[in-house]
Amino acid sequence: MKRFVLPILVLVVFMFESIFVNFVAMASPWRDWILSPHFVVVVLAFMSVYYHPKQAMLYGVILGFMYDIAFTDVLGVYALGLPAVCYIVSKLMKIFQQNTLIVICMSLLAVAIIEFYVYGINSIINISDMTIGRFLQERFYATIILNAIFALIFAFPLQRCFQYFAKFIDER
Amino acid sequence: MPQFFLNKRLVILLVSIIVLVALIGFSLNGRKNVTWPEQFVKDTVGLVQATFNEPAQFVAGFFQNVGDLKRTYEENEVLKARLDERMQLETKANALQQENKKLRAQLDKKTDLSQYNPIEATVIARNPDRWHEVIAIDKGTVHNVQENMAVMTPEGLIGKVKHASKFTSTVQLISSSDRTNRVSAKIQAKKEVFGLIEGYDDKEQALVMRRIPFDADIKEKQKVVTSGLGQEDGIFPSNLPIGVITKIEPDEYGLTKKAYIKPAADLYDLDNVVVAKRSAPAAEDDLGAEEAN
Repeated sequence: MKRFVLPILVLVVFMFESIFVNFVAMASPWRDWILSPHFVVVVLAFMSVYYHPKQAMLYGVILGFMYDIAFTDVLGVYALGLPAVCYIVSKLMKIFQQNTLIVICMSLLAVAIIEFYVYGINSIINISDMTIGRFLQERFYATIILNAIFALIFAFPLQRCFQYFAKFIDER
Repeated sequence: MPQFFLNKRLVILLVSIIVLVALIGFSLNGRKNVTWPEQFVKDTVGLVQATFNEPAQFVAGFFQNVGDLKRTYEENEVLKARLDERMQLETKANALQQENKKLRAQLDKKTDLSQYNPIEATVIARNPDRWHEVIAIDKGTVHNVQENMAVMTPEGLIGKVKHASKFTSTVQLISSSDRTNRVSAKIQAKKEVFGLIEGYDDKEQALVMRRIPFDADIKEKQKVVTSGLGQEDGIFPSNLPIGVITKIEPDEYGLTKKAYIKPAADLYDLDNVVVAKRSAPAAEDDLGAEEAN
């Protein structure tokens, strides 16, 4: 039974993103900014620190493909981006000590990397014609703040949850 | 040994970059249909999304209702003032419709570009990375939704069906800045002016209509509707409202004009939409039939 909990948790976060955009990010007070929730990235960053980096990368590939197919129709962008940031976060955590605040910063770094990476690819393949200045002003800062709020609220629950499940992976 | 591991990582990196480029190339290669595994994933995600969406919609609806209650008095005043106007318009529209029907019968002309069968659909998801302005709706090919059909709200056009899978489909909104996002439109001036809506200007928050003849007699506040004659949107019904002209500028080369159009529909707050299935066949079908004869 316990092995289904993590996939379901990650799937719920995945679904929650698009519902969040539909009902909250589109609301009139913040229409001037483009708020893009990357809650899955935050969760995967926590997962690769507190649970298991390889598992996190596997989840990254699967969720990335789902993301590409269901929403963007450009295959491969998130499917390779998500495991890559999991890898980077897990490598960086070997330098720093495991402190919750540092992990939150790492998850935000992961969001920033994903944002810049997707912006770069979309500029190359002509999907977006945003200039770098407008990208930063209208999208990047707002998105980072939004994801920082999410990470701050859910940092402790996520940490507890992944540490709890990490025990079982050692036993196996 | 460390050398060897380093190489292994390098190999993985290179292979994944090659896979990335190949996959992007594959998905951008002007394909019309999505492959069946993609359709399957789209449908499954869509259906799960739809069940999640229901309670969320309920909560959002509650807050909206509270907001509506606050504004009831002011709205009532405005609506009362409009009621008389509406009665007049209705009788006039009725008379015109009757006349149109009679004339059509005389001419023996049965199909009409502006006629369409509405397919009601609910928005079940919106793309969380906001690069592609895409929404998912809960109707697919089973419900007769096809690619390139027009999607609208009662206020006006919002986009076209990008991909249709069995039970869900994805809709590209007119506000996406994609190059393929084109709608052929006409301006309702004294003499109808045809043009092509090509993309969305984020700065002006308006659609851009290009290739309008320089001597065309167009003004601000004129209405823009679909023409139903385009290449890519060949199965749009005509006369769906798109928006209102807010600004007119000469084009880059000064040979034509371009107009900025504010969309009539609210592209942020979407929950129920209508897919318009045109009654008249597409232009390609006509040509095909003629060739067969």
